[in-house]
Amino acid sequence: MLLYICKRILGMIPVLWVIVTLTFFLIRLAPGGPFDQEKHIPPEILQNLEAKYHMNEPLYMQYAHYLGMLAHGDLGPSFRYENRTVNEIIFETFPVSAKVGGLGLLYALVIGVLAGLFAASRPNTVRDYIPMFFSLIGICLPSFVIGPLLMLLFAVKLQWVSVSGWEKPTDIILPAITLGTMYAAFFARLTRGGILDIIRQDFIRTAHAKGVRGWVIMLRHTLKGGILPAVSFLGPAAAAMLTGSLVVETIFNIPGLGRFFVQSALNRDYTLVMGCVLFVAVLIVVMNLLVDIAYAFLDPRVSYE
Amino acid sequence: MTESILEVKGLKTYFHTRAGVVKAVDGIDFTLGKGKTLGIVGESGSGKSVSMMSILGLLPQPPAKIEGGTVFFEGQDLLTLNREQLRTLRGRKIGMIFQDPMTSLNPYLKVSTQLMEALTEHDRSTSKKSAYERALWTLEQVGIPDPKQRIEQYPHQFSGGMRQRVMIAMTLMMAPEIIIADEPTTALDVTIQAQILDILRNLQVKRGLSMILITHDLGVVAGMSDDVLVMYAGRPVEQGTVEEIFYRPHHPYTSALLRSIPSVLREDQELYSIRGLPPDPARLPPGCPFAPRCERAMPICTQAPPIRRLSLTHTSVCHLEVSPP
Amino acid sequence: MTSPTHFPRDEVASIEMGRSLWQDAVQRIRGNKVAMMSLCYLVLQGSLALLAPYLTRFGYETTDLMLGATAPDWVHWFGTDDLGRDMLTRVLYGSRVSLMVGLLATFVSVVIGVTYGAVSGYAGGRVDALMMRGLEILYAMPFTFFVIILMVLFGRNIYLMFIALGAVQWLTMARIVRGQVVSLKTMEYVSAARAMGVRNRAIIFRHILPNVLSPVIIYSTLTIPGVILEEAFLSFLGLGVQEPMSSWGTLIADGVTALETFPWMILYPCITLMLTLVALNFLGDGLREALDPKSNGD
Repeated sequence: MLLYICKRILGMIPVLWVIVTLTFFLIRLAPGGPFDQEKHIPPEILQNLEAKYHMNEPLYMQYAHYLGMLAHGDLGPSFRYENRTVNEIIFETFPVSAKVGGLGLLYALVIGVLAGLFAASRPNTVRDYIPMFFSLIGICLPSFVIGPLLMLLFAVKLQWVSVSGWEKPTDIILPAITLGTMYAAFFARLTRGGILDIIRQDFIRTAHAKGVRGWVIMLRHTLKGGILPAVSFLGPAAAAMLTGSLVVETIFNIPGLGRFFVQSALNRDYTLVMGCVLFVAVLIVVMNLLVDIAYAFLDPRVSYE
Repeated sequence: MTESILEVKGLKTYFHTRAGVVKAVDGIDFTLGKGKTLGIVGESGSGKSVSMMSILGLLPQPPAKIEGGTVFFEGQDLLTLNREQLRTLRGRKIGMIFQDPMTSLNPYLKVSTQLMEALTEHDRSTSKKSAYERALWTLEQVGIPDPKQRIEQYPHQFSGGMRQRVMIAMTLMMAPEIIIADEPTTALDVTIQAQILDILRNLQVKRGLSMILITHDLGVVAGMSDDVLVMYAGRPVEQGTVEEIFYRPHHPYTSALLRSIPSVLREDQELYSIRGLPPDPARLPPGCPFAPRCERAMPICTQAPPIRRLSLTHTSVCHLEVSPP
Repeated sequence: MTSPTHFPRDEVASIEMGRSLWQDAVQRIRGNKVAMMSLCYLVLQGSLALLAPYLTRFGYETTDLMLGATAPDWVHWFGTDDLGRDMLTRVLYGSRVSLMVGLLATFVSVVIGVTYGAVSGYAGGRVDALMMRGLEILYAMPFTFFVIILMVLFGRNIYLMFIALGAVQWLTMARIVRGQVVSLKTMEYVSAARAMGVRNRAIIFRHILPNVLSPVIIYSTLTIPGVILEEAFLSFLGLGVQEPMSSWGTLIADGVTALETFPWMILYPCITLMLTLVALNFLGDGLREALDPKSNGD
């Protein structure tokens, strides 16, 4: 197992390298540059700026330079935020996004898995239709509708929480729910489908033939296998939620990673764009690795020896 | 005649599907003698498994519906029991072994868990330790080598034959009166088949178990059963003792089945097979369902065939006259 | 809690035989009322969007500042927005954009996904391993970010959006197709065709692709709502469709800012978007049930 994890971590390096290379050349291919908006700066200062960021060197040199920095774990200085490094910006904004995402993920998992179990316990009855109806709404109602509606109800009308911002501890609640609702709906559908798949298996019939009680069959025999589809979705879901939803952060005015990313792309802040993409990519591959490890624990047939 | 332990009369199980009503089991009767083995024979789709699962309440309702009949076991009609009463009966009084040992064991759970729950679910006062010991003992009984190590493994670490032994061990966790074995050897290699049948036969002798053996393999029936019920398209065709069915078959379907057994003694002959295919159970022909494939079909076969009693134990459902012995 | 749910397989399987798979599927989906209603709704929605210019006497960009935002009445059924533009017209024109994005981007994803998956699965061996490795790398790509980069850097061009959205949606499609192809390739009729000397390309197009069709149809029906939603997100962030053109995303974004004062501005685009997505989901589930009865659609 340990060997497998080591192998997987080593395997990440070429993946990340491809992503870095792709992004590097793609953003430089695009029209516009980081200093375009500062038209009034005199040419000699511009030259200094370009020298500082190695922008005056040929592209392959810049690329080599960037890779060299990466090898030291340095994402470089930001082009637009003077005197701040990309590392600093990410370390400042990521915790904010991760808090919202973490709470949202917890909410999505608990609500989603419970609703899925509830629905699967009596398929094709009212007990199935009601949670599935809500999950369909959850999937079809975009977060940029849920967010403002929640805001209107709980912040404006009931005044339980503040409208937006990131000052009080309660400020996290509405964004987390907004972010988590769609994922809760997905988890509910995946859990229901997984459980129903297992219930059809021959070994469930065997358990009934042994005289095992209904709820024991549900918990002991179906849950472990039935939860697997939800577990494999957990990887991408966690990566997407923890790195911050652009929409949710925009609506609730939260200083998270997502908003910085959009801003950095608009600003042609090359290093910050690269840093964000790379950071999210790392998170995705790590999450997928964790999911695969969880798989080995849940399904004894999967072995990484 | 021996004392009977299970009496089934007029059992009917229909499936209500979009394609129409499927009469999967349409009126079967049989009696299982105490300590005896009843072989139920028929092609796939003949309603063998459905009838057994109806008895144990293992069919999904809907679409399945038990439309009639009685199943008497220990003085009560199983078809009138509620779900919980049936559950406590399953495994404890009547054990069942399924066809495919690859899919019938839960791949996510250790063998020990699956064995122990067969006991603890019925007798919750049993300690974990004694259930574990019982599980070890049953594994030994079915001839699994090194049970102390094997019990901690998962089903995928067992071969097909070993898995079927685990299935049998599971029924031994309690002390059932009846074991229903649904094609227990069909999915196994020929050499393993013999071993599994041996285990079942030994158990039966040692514990005085009664057994219902479902199979499409007449060879298995010949070696194992006391009585035989032949089914076709959900209906009984012929029943009698093993000798009666094998040496004095009356129904053309039974004769045809017997002729289709490959034999080393008749290697010069071509292998016999019954012409045509089993009928669509949603659209059965009127009268005798076997008539369209029958070599001795007569015009009268489009009407419901009578039950012909050939001896105290031997009946056949056919229009053919009984020839004098 | 659970009731025993087991058909003895052979008994039931024999009931289903007889008709061809496609006829069977058509019959099954016809019997599925929810799916048929969804299909009717989508056809209606599509025709309304197509005929938008002939259906309303207002232009989608005609402002009437004197009028301002008015609540729905007999003249403006869906009300008007704060610039006095007729909301019904804007929703209808928005449907054109949103539906077109959904269809075209899905088409792009199908073309890329099926080609990639089919080639990978069919080639097998090293090529397959390499192509699947490539897919794995792309799965680690933060795609939302990527689309944003594309949209920001190369200008907010609607055609680029089709391609960008389609280009990020094909991964799962490629995987599904490859899986199907790999399992079909080993089947006898393909071996037979190959033994008879049929060329590789002919085998792919004549034998394998038709069999891959049903998972592709099912998955694309479920891709369309995803793409429509993505477009709405982009437009909401101001990176998609640009004024004065409208899509459901931009209309909802406009509506959000006036949520309290002019609630009808968000209500109608939101209802239209949701109904369409719900209908597409129901249709996709229905198709899955009809084409692949073994799956757990019901």
